Amino acid sequence: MRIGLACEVSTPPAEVLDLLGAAGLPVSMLRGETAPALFHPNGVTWFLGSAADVLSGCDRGALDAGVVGSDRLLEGRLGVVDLLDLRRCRDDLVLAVMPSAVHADRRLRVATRHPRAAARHFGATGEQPEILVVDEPLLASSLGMADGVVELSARLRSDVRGAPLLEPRAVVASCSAHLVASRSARVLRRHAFAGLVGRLRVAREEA
Amino acid sequence: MIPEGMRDVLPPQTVRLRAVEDLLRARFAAYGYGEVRTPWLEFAATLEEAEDDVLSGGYRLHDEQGHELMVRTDMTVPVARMAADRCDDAPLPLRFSYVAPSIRPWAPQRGQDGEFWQAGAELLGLDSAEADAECVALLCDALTGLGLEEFTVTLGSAAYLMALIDSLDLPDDDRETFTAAFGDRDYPLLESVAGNAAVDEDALKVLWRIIELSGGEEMLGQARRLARNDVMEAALARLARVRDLVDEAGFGRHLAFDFGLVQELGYYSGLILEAYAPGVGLPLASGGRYDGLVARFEWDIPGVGFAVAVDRASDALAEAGVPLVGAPAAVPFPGGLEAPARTAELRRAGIAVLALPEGAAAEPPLIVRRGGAYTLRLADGREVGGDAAAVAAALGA
Repeated sequence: MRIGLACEVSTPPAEVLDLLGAAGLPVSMLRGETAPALFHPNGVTWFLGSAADVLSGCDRGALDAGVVGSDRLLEGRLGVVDLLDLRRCRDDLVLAVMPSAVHADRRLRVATRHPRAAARHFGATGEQPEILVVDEPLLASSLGMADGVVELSARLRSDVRGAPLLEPRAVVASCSAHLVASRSARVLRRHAFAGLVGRLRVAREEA
Repeated sequence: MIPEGMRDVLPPQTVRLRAVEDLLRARFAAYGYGEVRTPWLEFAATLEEAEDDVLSGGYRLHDEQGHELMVRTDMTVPVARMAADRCDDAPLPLRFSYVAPSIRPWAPQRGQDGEFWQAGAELLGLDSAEADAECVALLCDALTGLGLEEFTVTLGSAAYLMALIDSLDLPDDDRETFTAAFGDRDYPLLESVAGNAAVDEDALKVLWRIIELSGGEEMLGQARRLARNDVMEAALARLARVRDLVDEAGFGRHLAFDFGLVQELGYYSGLILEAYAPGVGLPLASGGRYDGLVARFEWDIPGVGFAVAVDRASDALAEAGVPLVGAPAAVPFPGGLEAPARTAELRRAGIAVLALPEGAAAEPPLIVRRGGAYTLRLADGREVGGDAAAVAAALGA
């Protein structure tokens, strides 16, 4: 089985590796490794890469499965199947703003990597900000392109140099790591998937 | 130099694609599906009848009378339109096939060129499990006929899913959004709509469980236990009948079931199918039952069909190491360009000849003229033959 692990800026999260290991997958050599990388222990191919690449790999059938944050799944229209909430790496996708930059007489500008989730949130609240799609929302704010961001709260606390201080204002969505599958692999390797999902579900509850 | 999403296809690849197309044509013909061609351009309103954003999003232009036209984005809708326009006094059922390109505005990540070729079959005028089964069996037979041994055709039911959504008692507007989100696999939006409409939590749990049902025929039993009304039960009974018939036709080992299977195209009303093969992440084929589509062109007959993506089928065969036998490569004949009578004689003998100027360099095997005779020079330097018939025999032409 070929499995992608999304790890954007660091090593694969230990709590995800613990869970995958408890489900019987060979994960020991992944600990401490950084993306991008490829490993082939005991009949499993591990791909460490960005969430976008993991999702593209699953979409095209180059990966059978992947573990990605559900914040990426919120964007919808993906050719992958969301199989299981692993309930690890929980985090909130939040709207955070620079208090000093918000003016009642000016339209709010929000930078984000999650435009559909942001649009859905603002649709529900009735706000109509300008949504700016960027790869680094914090830096976009520091450049003055935006007054705030829709971003994972863990990334607000990260030490992005030069990033402004942002104040969380609302939770857009609660997120966690999810197991996703390629549509083709889910059909062609359904017996392997049934076993894996079952073991992960048990391990998730036992931990 | 060409528009985004378009591509040129050169001879080595066209030989493969043509071989795939010809093999599929042959299987369609073996089931009595007559090949049709429909025009590149339809009235925009025709393609809009599908009420689907993808199909309605094609390239538009206007004719001299001001009619809004669209380059076709799909073949099923034009075939449905054609049947209603041209065949409404023909005895039913009608069986049509096609091998044709369609064009959609290209988008990155969609996994499809702007222009894509499909080989498809449509069975019109029969609303029965037997008709559904014939289509599934034909698809399996066609893929087998290509030389594929390992592939899976996964079956679902739009009728089952729609009856489930009906049971949620959503307001009309929400139902439309919910159904569209289902088609897009936009589960966060599904949750959002269900939350706003205060859908019963137990019903929603059933929905999530059904979406997860994917596997062998044991899924039919699980789906039956989750059925919430008679329509869902009936849809499952029909799917089970389709399974039995396809098994009788000898293709049961290729079947799987997926109750979360949804298609981008919103006109499906019953059976839904997708085919997958190892090494190709996207479906080789997709299709289903579309009762109600032909009625939009004022002839209310049911329909079921599928389309094979020719490119992806070719990729699957390459992955599986299946050779494709196309037309034989033309044999070089230096001097043939100056001797059209000789070249014609060779071609009449069944040899594909690449006529070259006298003295042109060519790699063997090649045809060499010796006075009034011909020989075939082989790669090891030997020469065989003596006249056109002998050269043809040596080539196996």
